[in-house]
Amino acid sequence: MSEHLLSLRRVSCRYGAVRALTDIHLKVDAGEIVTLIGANGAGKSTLLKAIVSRVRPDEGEILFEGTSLLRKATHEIAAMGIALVPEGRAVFGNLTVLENLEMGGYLRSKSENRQSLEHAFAIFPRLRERVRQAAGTLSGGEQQMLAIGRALMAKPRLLLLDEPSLGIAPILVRTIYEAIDAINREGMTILVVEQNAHLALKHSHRAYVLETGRVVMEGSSREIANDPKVKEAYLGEI
Amino acid sequence: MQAFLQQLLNGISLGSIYALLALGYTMVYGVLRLINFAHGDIYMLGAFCGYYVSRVLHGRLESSLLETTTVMLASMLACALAGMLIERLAYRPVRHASRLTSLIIAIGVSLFIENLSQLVFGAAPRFFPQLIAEKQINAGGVMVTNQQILVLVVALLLMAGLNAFIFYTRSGKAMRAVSFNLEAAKLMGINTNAVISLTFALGSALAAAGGILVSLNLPGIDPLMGVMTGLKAFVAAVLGGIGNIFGAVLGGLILGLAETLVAGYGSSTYRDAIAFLILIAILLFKPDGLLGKGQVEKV
Repeated sequence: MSEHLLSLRRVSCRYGAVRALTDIHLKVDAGEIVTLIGANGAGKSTLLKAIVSRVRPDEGEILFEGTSLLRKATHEIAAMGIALVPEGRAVFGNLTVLENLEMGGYLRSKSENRQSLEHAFAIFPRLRERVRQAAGTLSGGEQQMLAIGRALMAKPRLLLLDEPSLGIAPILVRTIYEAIDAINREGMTILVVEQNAHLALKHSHRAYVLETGRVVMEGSSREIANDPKVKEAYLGEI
Repeated sequence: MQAFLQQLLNGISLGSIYALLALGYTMVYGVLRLINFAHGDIYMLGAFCGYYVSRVLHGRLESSLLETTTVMLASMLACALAGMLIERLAYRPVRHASRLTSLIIAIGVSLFIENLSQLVFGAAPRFFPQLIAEKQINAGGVMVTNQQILVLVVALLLMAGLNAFIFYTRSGKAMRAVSFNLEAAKLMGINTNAVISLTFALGSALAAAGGILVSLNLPGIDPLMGVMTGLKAFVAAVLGGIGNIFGAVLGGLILGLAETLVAGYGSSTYRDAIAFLILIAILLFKPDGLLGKGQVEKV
């Protein structure tokens, strides 16, 4: 029944009287990059927050490896193997780069963290140059690298990325998406939320299109990218 | 000159007590953005706990140093538990309510402890046993008591220990992470409730140590002894920049010095007034405190 790594069934969420998500069905299989595109306010971030219990759905079910996430606390979900890189990075600005990475591996042993640290530096060499620097002094792009590196320190089985390109210099956006592809090739399953549909569809296997809290389209990223409606609404082509 | 050095010494000694207490305010503020007004009462509980433990222990341990150490550790442990209990019962249930709610709860907890203590301990002052016989040491005209030295050494050791804990241990780093961004800390798998409990435990243990150290010098203890001292330590935390660990120590020392200098050269009538004068001045001119960084909104 549950061969999917992650599945959302009939999930609905509201903030007060406002419905943020309505009747969402979504699945992510091991090894995939799945993207969720949609306009600002379509409910993309809410969906990720629902997965890690930062917002509680009113209805529906969220399963990770067959286990319900609905009654779990956020830190328990992290311990189950889901790492979220939140929108705006949320690095610990008062901690050094190294300390931030250590916090990513908070639940793991020192020797495991030593390995993961090398791995993170291999993906983002820039971080190694800045280990002793306070994370708050990094540029936006570097903070995004740190936030992703920090998430990888936990050796998650599912990586959730919320708007990794937001507010970052274009040159670094490319670096970050190349890194996302590289991480995926190593076997990491990734669910990425992105406003930049062009970028997201290029770097993913499957896609969901969200409009005012509903999934209005789903399919392989190539199909979605070639859909005339998506082209018009999200890719700026006519 | 000698008189000045004498005041300086007294001021630093007093200031290090304020610093110990201010650390508790600042740490709790750091993780919860809450002013724990019951903190001064924990300091009082520390003194009373020490009082009872030393009465039980009296004459059973050979050296007075061992006795003092035992009294202090027992009292720190008891207050750590009390601090965790207060957080669990009074603050956690209203954590997601407005900050004003927590503030009013904090005032309520403070009044509750003060009145319960008067009921349990009695309102009349009690005399803290002299665990260490006082010795005067004449250091070039400046009179130092062995107890003042004890205050300085213990306060310094505790602050150094706290510093090492916060900056070099996994839990200490988690505490700093929580104070920067609680929600992001949860995403790391950090059990933030446990970190918050630990923060209360540490702050309360430092307050208890402060209570014992003060009682060794000024043995009259009563259930309201924490009110004024607690307020002044709060001023010290605000002066240094609330939420900032080094600020708390700096603020404590400045406040202790200001108080003894005012009492020594001005009038001891204004002894208590100076703390609040400083509070008003800092709130008017540098509300973030001396080492406060201000509220920078992250994009």
